[in-house]
Amino acid sequence: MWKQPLDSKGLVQITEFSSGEMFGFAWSKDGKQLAFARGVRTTDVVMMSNFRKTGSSLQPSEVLRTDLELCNPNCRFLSFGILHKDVQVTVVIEHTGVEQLSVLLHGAPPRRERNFPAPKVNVRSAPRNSTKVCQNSAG
Amino acid sequence: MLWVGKADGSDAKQVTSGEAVGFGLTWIADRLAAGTPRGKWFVMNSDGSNKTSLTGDNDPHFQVSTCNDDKHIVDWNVHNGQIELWSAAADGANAQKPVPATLIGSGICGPDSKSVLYVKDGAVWSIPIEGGTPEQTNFPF
Repeated sequence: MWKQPLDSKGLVQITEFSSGEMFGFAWSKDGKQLAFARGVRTTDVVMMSNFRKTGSSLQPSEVLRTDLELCNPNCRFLSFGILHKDVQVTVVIEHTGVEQLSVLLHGAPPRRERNFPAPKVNVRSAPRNSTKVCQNSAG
Repeated sequence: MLWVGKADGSDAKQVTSGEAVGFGLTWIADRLAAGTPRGKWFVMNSDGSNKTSLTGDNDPHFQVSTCNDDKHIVDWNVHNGQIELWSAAADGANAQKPVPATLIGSGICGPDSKSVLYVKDGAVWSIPIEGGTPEQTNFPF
């Protein structure tokens, strides 16, 4: 954290950490104390195959953002973020259809705009109830 | 994790551990209010002790605003996909929704500690903190 007077003179560094991120700060009303939040973001990568309505352990409240960020060239894998056990998790879905995916996304209507064109590949045959979640701790 | 130090940043000490907090941070009098990534808020002493819940429901709450009187707070949450503005006592008790309409933005406590300011229809509105008739302010927007 740095402090700079309104006249733009006298830039002063007030915290000095060699790692982590600063998430927020607040001075007490009497100006005598400074509180700040810092830490390290940790993410897991979750791979789910053949996602089905009845196979998800995710709850709508866990969806952190529903914008799909990645879509590989054949649009078979998509990723988005959720909060899972208080950890921000990137979910990668090998999706098998727009309808199934939309269930996970807060029941939103199928999204076909920009980063989410309709699947261009056929569903790979797989045994029912084969959904699996693999978590790799990265932090 | 939360850290507290002197105003110049010196003597900072970590005061919380375990659950991540600090995704939203404000002082309520001499106590600290901090939010988790899930939008749960806690209030605690500046040394991290006596931590209690500030928001008791399951909805994510954001941007707790402390009134100047240190007796009230204003925050907003997302409930069933809609933004709701709330006011409450400094300890989170007596929470109520002063603004019945659906909002598109957040609100803050007014400088008199008796009103809530919020944005609606391209203007800044003021409403008594305990609810009532909203009035459009002259604040430029």
